Amino acid sequence: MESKQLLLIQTDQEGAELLKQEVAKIADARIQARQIQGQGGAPDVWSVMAEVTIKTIGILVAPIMTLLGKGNAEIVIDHPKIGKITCRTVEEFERIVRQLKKVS
Amino acid sequence: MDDFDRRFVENTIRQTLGPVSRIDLCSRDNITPMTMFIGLAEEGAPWPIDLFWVDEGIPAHFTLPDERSSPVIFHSRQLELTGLVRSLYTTNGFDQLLEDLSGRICLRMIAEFLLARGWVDQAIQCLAKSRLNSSVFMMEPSLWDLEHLPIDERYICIWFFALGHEIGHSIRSDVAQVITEHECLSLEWIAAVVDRLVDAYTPNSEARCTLRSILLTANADHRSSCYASARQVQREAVCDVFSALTLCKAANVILPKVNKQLSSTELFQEILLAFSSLLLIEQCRILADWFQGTESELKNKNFAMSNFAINARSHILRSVLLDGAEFTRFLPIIGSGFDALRTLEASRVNECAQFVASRSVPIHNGLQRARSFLSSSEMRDTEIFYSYLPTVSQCAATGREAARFVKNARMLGRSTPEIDMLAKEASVFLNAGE
Repeated sequence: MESKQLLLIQTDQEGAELLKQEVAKIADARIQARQIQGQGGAPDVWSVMAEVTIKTIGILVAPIMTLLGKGNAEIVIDHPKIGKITCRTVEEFERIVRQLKKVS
Repeated sequence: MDDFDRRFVENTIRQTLGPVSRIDLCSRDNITPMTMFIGLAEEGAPWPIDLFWVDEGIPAHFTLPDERSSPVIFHSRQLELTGLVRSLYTTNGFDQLLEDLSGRICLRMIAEFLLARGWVDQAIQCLAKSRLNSSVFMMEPSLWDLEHLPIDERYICIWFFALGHEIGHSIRSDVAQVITEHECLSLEWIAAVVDRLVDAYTPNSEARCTLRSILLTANADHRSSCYASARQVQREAVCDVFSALTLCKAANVILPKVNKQLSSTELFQEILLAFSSLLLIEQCRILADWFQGTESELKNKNFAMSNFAINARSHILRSVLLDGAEFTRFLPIIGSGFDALRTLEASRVNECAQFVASRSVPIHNGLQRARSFLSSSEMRDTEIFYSYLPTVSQCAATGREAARFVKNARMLGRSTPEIDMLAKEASVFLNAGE
């Protein structure tokens, strides 16, 4: 069975909705997106977690690039073989996706 | 809550607070003031509350509500900070002493928040400044201290005000509606309060125009994320009021079980103290965000807006609590068996409110001192750190604080030569805690 990786993303509501739409297109993928409500804290921070395979992660590359390009997201990829990696820029994300393809 | 939901909550906690090693989903098997409070708060929520307890990392309670469940994150460090700031409010002393203590406590809290955001040098500088050239310190209450307080109005408010606020983000719409029907929570009333605050705190007319223009756009946009938009303030104020009402209900149920007679005046005062403490912690958190994005700050004026929002919330909660005549409207939430707040005498209520307000002046001057330090050239003065360093091994309270800072820095993966130096000086306290 193909291993699944978790994508953990902190973004705004627009970003969370975009990711939900994209993950809905992928069979067998799961997603959770909820607003982080803290006492008087930043009002628009959303936490998103998607569980996808390396075959289907490609579908999410474009929307994630858009979010990273806008500077309103932080992505953590949790892969069973390489552990947790955080990226905040398009370049970092591209490098990680290449690495994921190699190990999967 | 299925396994995927639980992994989502745990991952979000770690992404928000740092890679904490332990997250406990609290069981309800034992009857404790905490489980009783959650049970009472749940009566206003559409589904059961899942409480996750965290001890390590960056202090923050928060919640992740959606259409199916309400995980609430309870952080014991946030509780300790609430206890510390509440002590500040009730410390006997001259205003000047209170201002000094407040400035130092604010810097300590800002240091923790800056560390979380990766501003390590600035965090160390604030920590060092908070301890330098002072012979008067306030002992921080530990979790153990707070667990062993007598169960009374103070205990209930310190432990549960912030928790009740977070649960307030997940309440049923009919409960929220009962609260928003109070005049002080209408969007019009809130917008007017914020507008008055802009007037009062912005002497420069050009700056006033800019702020009003941002607010005008924000109030017209349902999805605006501006801190001081009427909708955003209303959302937070509903949680404040819900928490205060749930505390009334909880005090009425919990105190008789420990043979403590409920004093409505004490309860009222403790609610105001817990709320004021919470707001001071929030202001420090927001000050730490100041370094995050100057571009966004210039455009959205987040710092100024958050201050207006906090002041407006304070005004709203006081107005609602002082409005004894209108309290019957909340009976569907607090239950008809409770009438302690209705029996409050107006003169006693005003006395409590005035006491808290009088303490707020020097305490907020202290916050302003901390704020001035953040933008001063002293932030780059290395002498501050090197003068502070030897005191870490000489004073137990300073050493314990430094050890906590080093532990958090290590957990967050922050590493600088200054942290190593601090770790060396605090080694006795670091080893004692391991």
